[in-house]
Amino acid sequence: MADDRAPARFYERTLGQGPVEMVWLHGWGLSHDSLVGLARGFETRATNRLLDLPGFGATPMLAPGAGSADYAAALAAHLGPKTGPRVLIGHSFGARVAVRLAAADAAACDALVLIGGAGIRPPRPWPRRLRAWTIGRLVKLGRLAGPATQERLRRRFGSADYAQAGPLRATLVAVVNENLTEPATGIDCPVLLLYGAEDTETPPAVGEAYAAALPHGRLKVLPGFGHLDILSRGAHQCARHITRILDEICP
Amino acid sequence: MATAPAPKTTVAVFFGGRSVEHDVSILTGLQFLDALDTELFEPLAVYIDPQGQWWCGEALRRRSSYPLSGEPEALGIEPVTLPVGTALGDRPGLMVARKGLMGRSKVETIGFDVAVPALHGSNGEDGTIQGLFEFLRVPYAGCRPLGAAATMDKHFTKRALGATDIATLPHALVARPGRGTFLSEEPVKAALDQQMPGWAFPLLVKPRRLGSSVGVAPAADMDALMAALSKAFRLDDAALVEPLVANLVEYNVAVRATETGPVTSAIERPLHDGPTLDFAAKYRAGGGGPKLDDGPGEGMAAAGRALDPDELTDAQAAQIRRDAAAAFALFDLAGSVRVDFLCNGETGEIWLNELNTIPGSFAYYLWQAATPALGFTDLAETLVREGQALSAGRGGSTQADAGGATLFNRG
Repeated sequence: MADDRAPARFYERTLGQGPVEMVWLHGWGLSHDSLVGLARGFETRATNRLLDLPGFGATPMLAPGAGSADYAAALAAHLGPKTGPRVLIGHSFGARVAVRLAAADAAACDALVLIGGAGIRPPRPWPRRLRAWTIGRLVKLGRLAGPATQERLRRRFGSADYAQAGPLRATLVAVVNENLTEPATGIDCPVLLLYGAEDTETPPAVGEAYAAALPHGRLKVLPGFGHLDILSRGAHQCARHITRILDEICP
Repeated sequence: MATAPAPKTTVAVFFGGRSVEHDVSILTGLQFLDALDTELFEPLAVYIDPQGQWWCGEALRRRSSYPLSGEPEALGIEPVTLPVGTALGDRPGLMVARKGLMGRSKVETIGFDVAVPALHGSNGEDGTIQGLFEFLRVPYAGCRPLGAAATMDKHFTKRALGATDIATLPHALVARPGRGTFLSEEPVKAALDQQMPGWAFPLLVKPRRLGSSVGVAPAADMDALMAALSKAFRLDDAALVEPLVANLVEYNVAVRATETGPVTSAIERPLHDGPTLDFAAKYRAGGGGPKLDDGPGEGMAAAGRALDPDELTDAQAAQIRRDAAAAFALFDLAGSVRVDFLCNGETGEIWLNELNTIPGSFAYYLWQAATPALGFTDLAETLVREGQALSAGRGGSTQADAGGATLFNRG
């Protein structure tokens, strides 16, 4: 859904000053704060732009139901054309936005880093598929008992993100049903894929699917880290891999 | 034909320990384990509990496992020992007793390639565990026993620095009264008169061999001095008494060795409200106890600081870097060593205060802000490789027949 309102006013925090522009895009339900620890490692080398994505932190939301392509368009308008080497770093939902932006405009960045990046559904075992199908039917049947009952069922069986999405629920539904395999195939720049081996939200299988779709994807699976602590406990190892990408595009 | 990947180096990180800095050491050890590049290294956590028992197990990687309680074995955490009185093999190993198929106990070995002491203060930063590793020919990272022991002793450190042009504060060493005698003013005054002529309040008391500002207390008068000494003597058998620097500003810098000599990191000015940076300000920044499972901004890394602060003149920064590097070389140190300085903010005078051979968080936050920057994962690899090289190059052969000093016929 296109947003025909005024361009989004992104909240932005800048750390460091350097020839490389690093744009940090956080995950669902988080804010730029979740990436500060990792970005601090690049203060002497890059100008780090940490953003609150629309609807999170201090940035107002886009129109209800906006998808990742709308987020990418709003982000492109906010960032403007790049004036030097630029790297987009996206965690989880932020990775969806980064993929959309890089796919839509080849000149938008010189490299991508996806950390626990979402956008391609991992293969699910049949019991989980059956459970999801059953819950979907149950929630639809709940409509017969009235909106309050249906809402209770959604909160009871929906994901934590879904239960807490509030006005962003339509956006959440839109983005989780997106498959970014096709856009990923058109991204021509190097893409570093960092996934925690213990990640159950976006397991390494998602990274493998991205690596298969991307022309220049490199997958690194980091043992011992999950979806969130890859940003904290795993930050140092992530930083080392990101530094290698920086060395390539800005020796 | 694809080549097989090089075998990973197993890095045993020792943390915890019998020290007042036990808890901070847990944070430092876990941070180091998390920072190790898992494409090159196999991390192995070795926890030393406050009673001195050594433990291994994957659950030790989780901060929520501490303090160990109940039955650690239920979490897969096993007691281990480092065999001392056995023939030395090619690869060091920890011994663990496990139950075999028929329920009979059997001893197995957890091998490793290099040890990293992440132990702060007593029984770890003071040369003791380094001496054990030397004795057992275990390759290890960081300072060798002599440098670690010398810099742990503040009195010895200042005596050694006194022979150089590195500025340090004057001090008096006051010994704990013998068993059956009480601490009294006269011998303390006599020690001050003899070792620090012209002394005046306010003074600062610090235990001789503890780190992390534990037991450090200012004294504005004789009553406070006696109270501070009593407190210090509960922790150590001697204490240093120094003038309390007016308009105190503290600066720290880290040093490490390179092929071309010692290099220094960014300089930090710790931010704190009190007259000195005490334990709480260092490790409980933000209030409460250390947070759990929450990432790199922890322990010493979480304390507030100004990096390469503006008020520091070029001459002052140069003095700090020069003195830190000179002290590092004097004591023949290795690893990432943090050197702490005291400064009178009004007069600009600077004195070297102490050297920390295993600083909190290995002072990675100072290297991360250095020019050129060095991330913690790169720093960790550097420390491991340096330790392996130092251990490999140690001394010569110690075989009994190597020096021609044999008396018994070996056939």
